[in-house]
Amino acid sequence: MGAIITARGLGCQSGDRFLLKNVNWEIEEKSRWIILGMNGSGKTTLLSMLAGYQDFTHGQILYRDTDYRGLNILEVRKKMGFISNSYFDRIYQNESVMDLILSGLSGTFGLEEENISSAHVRKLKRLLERVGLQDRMDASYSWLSKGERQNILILRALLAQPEVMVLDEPMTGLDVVSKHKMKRFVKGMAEDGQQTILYVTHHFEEISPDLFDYCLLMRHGQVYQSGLVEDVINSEVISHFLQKSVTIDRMHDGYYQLLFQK
Amino acid sequence: MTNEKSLRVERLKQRAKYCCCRYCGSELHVRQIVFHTQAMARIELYCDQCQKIEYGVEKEAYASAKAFVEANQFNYFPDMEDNEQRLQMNIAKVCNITSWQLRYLGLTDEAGLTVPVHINEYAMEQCTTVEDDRLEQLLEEADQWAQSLQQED
Repeated sequence: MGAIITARGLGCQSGDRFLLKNVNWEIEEKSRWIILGMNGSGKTTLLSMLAGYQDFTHGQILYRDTDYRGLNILEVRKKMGFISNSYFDRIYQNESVMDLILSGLSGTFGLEEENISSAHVRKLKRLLERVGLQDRMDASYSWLSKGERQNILILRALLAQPEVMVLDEPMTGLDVVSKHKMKRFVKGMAEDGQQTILYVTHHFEEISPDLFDYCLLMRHGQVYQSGLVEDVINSEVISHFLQKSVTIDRMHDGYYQLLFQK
Repeated sequence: MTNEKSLRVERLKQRAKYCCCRYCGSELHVRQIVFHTQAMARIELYCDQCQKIEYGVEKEAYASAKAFVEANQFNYFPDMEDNEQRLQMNIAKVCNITSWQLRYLGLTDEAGLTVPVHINEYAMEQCTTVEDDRLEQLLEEADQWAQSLQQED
């Protein structure tokens, strides 16, 4: 299978500072990636660029060999199911849940009635019922809990039937029950294998080599290392990456566990 | 593709002229939401009053929805406290229904209303509700009037 997204020399400069620098990354169709990095390493910046929600100042991004700059970026956004609380919390506040979810169909932030059919509204209602949020359809985004927001963003992404699911720290801020549900959702999606998955985290206990194929390590806005999950997530590489002596184990459920050595 | 890009921008600019916020009825503005080189990717219609991205509804549809909610004390949100926010949400709810119907009936398209509309604000107030007692009284009066006509004949 060929590359669905390719980043070449990708960078983002703000003033004198590079938020992202010289990122080269080829993402094969239906591959499942983990993107690991500490706070401020440029993970969200990178993903929001790939998802078409943020501009870049250097390099290029290709979608199936076509440069983003020559594409209708709203069409690109529809193909990328971007789920990021940290990004959308900056955009949405008083917008209604219904408008927000339906906006995913047009790749815009607001509703575009022309792209919405009654079938879409019926599907939206079914999806809301499935996650137990049917009573929240008219609520404002700001009224929702962190877990509810996460679910709403997932529905926004799913409604457009994207080819790539971009999940930016989906477990952050969730309670144990919501975390468990999210873990099950990601597992289901990964096992299904129908979509390309880009999953950002800084928690090793969310990663299992059974669910993900590749890992990209990011540090200071640059790619530190990338490769097969098992080649990247091991005690030696991660100790070097974190500049701390650590041991990587696997728990009984197959997920990794990070232990700091004394 | 360049056409597609500029089309959305133009469409939103036009829409801001003939639409208003579904919640508060205020004017809509084309605002930049994020930084992006493609204009169509960074702009949305925005209501400064509600501070939200808002696609809006035809001004006439808003007027009709507001009148309906107020005249009939329509309430889709019985669990909510009775306040301005609930009123606005009810108006927005009716706006969505009105907007759907107008589109269904072919009375709106991408350029707004396709037919001229003359709002009659007092249309509903011209109707009179007759209570049962008053109705009986009116029927009696009608009978008496009919009898008086027969006597004249």
